[in-house]
Amino acid sequence: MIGLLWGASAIGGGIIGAALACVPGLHLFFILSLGYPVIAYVDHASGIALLTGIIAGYAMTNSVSATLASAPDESFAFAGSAMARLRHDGQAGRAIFESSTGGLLATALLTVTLLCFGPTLLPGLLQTIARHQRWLAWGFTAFAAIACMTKPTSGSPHSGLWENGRRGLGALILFCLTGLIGVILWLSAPLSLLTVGKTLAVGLLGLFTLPSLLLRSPGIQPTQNAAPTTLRQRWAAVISGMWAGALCVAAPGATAAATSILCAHTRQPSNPAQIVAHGAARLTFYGTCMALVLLPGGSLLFPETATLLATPIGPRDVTLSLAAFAIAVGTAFLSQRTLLRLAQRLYQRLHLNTHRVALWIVLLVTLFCGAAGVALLLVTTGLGLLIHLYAKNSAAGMGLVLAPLLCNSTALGPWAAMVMGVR
Amino acid sequence: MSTAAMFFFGVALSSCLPGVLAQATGGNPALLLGGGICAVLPDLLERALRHRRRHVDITIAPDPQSPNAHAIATGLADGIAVAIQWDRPIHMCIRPTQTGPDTWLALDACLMKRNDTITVTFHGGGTTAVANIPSPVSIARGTTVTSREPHSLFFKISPQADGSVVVDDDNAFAACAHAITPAILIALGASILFTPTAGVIILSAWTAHLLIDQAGEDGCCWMAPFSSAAVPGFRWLRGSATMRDLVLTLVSTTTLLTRLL
Repeated sequence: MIGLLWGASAIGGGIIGAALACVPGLHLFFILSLGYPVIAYVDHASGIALLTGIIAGYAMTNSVSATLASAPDESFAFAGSAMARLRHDGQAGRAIFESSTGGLLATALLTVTLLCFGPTLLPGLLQTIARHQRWLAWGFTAFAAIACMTKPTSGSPHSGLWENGRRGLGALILFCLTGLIGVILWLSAPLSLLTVGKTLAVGLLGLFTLPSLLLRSPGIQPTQNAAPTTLRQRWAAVISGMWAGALCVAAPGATAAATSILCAHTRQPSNPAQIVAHGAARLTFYGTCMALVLLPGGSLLFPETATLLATPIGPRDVTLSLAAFAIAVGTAFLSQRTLLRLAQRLYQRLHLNTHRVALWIVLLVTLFCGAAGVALLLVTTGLGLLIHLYAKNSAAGMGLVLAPLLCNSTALGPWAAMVMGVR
Repeated sequence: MSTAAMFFFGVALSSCLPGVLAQATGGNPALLLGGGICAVLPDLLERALRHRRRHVDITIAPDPQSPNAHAIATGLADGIAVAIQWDRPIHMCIRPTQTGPDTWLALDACLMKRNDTITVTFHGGGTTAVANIPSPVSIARGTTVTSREPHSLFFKISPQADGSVVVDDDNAFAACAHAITPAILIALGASILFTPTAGVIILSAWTAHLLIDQAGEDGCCWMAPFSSAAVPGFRWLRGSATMRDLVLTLVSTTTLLTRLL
């Protein structure tokens, strides 16, 4: 029943998610692992509201740590250039505002659309997606492999990987290597959402966050024009971002990194509207995929996630989840200004620099995943640095999430398990 | 058009062919995804061919804040003077120029034999500038080159024994990527090696890419490598690159969803 606890869970989840998202390196999967034990003490609807709120709050304000501490998660992997430009020009606040505006507009559109058509269309749509999920997984992988060998739309043409054919090949090899790590992780990890989620978070931190942090402010090109974003461009960015986010619902195991790569290939990398598109894509992805349907499609990657809350998801749950998502996004947007100020003060007081943030991330990984997590972080960071320095294209890191998805959707998975003798 | 927009357009197009979607659902998505890959292939090939290692003697980089057609024309004339002075063929390049968040400078550079002049015309605004080539040099064979965003434009200027210069469009090899000839050849090969459907998919995806470029601002060198003459874009698809990408993407997604549902 919708009651006080339900509302408090949505608002509280939004605030908690938004506040924790300001902590550099605290990945969504880490935050969710803290939130899961709590849902055992509340009713089903409030549990969904709390988790949805945390996801929405995180998605709205993780641009704070991505911009101020240069520690973007995988959902900002391809917006680094635009954010670095704005930060370099002293407009870090604008970058955060653009991202949250995109998220807010997308949430508004998504809420209206899904409240009107969701309960009718969503079940049929999910069935259709499930029927076609195999070739969709192949499609994502093929696109990511193409994206490895070419820069998003039009950065500097002279920095394209095809400038030197060996780089394209190198990027493809790195893509396969990260894929191999992903397959090993998926095959060797116990089938528990929390364990796999946290392990995946460590891999993503190593591939995307730490290299961005250690090689901060890359790709600032003063010749590129950073004109103010017009209302028309903003709406176009929101719609293209929503398209990218919605498309990734078809392959939810691909994480928000997939939304980022699609955004990057539909928009100019240096354009501030890119950040708007990323914000919209992230909120659409988390809103439709993770919060609304609670990862049923993610069963490709985590077979038991559909039964996460033990109760089947019905139309009422979809409506409740959507309402909680909208409330949490609104709460996070309203609290963002205060959180930004607090984060700025905290970062200044702690004198956060590259080394301190990197050490903090290692400490977080140790706390959540232990020594094995740190070892994985070191390996993936090495690969991530290679990708950033040599391939210069974050798409090569996508293998980590796409390879397990592909394996699970085809006969490759059991074959790989048999060959590796892991399971 | 962006890589993602073209890829999804190719997938949507090939899904319209009978049996392809059923085959993909049955576990063999090669034909369906082949359409997406072939729709992207012209751009990938062009990038590969244009950005292959090449020596450039003189580079003209227009100012992104206020691009000046006269400065570009003068730069080309200076290049001709340098080629005469060095008495060897030189390679010149006009760098692509981003003039706005979603816009690139599009221009025609026309080195005319008829009156030994160099004319640079910006698209859209219609700004035109003319520069005379250094006297007493004459152009023995000229060329007209249209920029394709966001690629560099390359020229080869070869001095002749009689004091004239031959200006070659050095983009013709790369232009093959946006021609119908390789599409026909690859489609024929695929039809023989695999199935006729594969050939149809390759030809339709590649041709669709060329038609979209032709309807936009880019234009295509349809008959390359037999003729390097580019057909200027019809400019039916106006607006920023972002809007065009968005429209194409939405059309593709709608088509695909209709087919799936």
